[in-house]
Amino acid sequence: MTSPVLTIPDDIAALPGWLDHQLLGPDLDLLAAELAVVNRPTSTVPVLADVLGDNAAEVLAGGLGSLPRSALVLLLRHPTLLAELRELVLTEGGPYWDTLVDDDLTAAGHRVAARIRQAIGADPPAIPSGHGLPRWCGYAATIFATAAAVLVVVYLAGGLRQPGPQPAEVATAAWGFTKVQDLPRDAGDTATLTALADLASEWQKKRPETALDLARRLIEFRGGCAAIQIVPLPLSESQARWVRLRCGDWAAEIDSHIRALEDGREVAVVRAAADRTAERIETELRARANLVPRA
Amino acid sequence: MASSAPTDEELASRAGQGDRAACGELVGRYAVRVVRFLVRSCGMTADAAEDLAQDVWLKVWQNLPQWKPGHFRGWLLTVARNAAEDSRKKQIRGKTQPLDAAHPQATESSKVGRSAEVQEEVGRIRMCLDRLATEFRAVFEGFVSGKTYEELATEGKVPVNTVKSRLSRTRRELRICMGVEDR
Repeated sequence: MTSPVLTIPDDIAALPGWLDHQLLGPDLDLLAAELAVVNRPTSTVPVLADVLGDNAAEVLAGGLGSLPRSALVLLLRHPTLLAELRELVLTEGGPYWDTLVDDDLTAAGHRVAARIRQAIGADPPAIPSGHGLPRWCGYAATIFATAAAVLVVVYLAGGLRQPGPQPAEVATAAWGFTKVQDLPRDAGDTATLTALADLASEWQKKRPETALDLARRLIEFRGGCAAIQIVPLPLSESQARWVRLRCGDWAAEIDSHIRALEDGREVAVVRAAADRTAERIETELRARANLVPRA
Repeated sequence: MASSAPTDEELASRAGQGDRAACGELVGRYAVRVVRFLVRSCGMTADAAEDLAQDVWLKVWQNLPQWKPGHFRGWLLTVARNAAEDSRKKQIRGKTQPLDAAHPQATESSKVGRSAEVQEEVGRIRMCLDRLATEFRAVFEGFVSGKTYEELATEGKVPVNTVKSRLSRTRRELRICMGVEDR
């Protein structure tokens, strides 16, 4: 941990910019604690609004550069004001303060935006990547997702257009969420969420022994998530949004299992991890069903 | 004539009536800010904040139809703060439900760990300050409290260059003492 108090710039003109970064940086608590040790502030703490005075709007718009030196000195001498100022900047600060966000938080925000836009249908489906432990898909997973989606589309199209016996390769994918379009349209949220939980539990019906069989099964499972995203769900709008959003994360987990197989992980280990994923999906859906407000 | 961008409140009103594009625009404006708020103001880890931010936006999307026109950003961050607080309470109660397993929060233990780290650092700098000669400590304390070289020179009745050299030496001594620089 670097001591922030040792990084205070020599040049007084650089102090406001340095303090701007500290305010939104990860070590403000440490800086405030160090300043308290070095400066031994008096018990009489000025009010932040008084310190900012007429410059408050300019500070919120463009940083501490608009403050006179006397105000900056007060902030250094009474570091409890820094936490208060941070809160003000976080809630009311203008675009200038957005330029000081750490890269990792910016990236996280962009990932959230992409997922939410997709979940609410504000954007065409997109598959952002770049998370440390990807919640969505990387390159390989995109291929799997595409393959899975193709399976689903084949199944769904077959179901829609060709009543009667299904082709063998289509039948292999006809389990789990891929059967979502077969759910009753008017069962209500509780029953539908429970039915989805039941579909998720179908994962347990087969216990693939080889890496290839397990990969195939996982691709089918992943395809179910694609089905959730593609077909109209017999749920209220808010419940459907929740299911689709969670399904994005479940899909990412399944993709990670597929990648683990690609990386040569033991079948039993990957299967156990996939079992846990399936159990969690099922549990989440049942819990959600229990939370549906009764009419 | 260039049209001005819609305000947050205009977008929120449209989003409340089901305009997905408007909601998408709000998400674009504030997604980073919500994550940053959860991390910096609510003390969450970046990963936990990223997970919780999704819930926050879904709550916003679900509740926008009931949103009473007002300051959208303030309302949004209140939703975020409440979500973080709910999450923290759940964790303290130890009633981690399966739904929560999908978005683990900054643990209380991690906050305690951070606090311990800060205390350790503070203890170290206090010890290192105590080792400084009086005149060096005075220069450093004066500098950290925002005094200029000239003010410090006047107070110490020494030339400005002496202040500068004392400050430089003091910083180096502190860095060495705190283990961030080799002697």
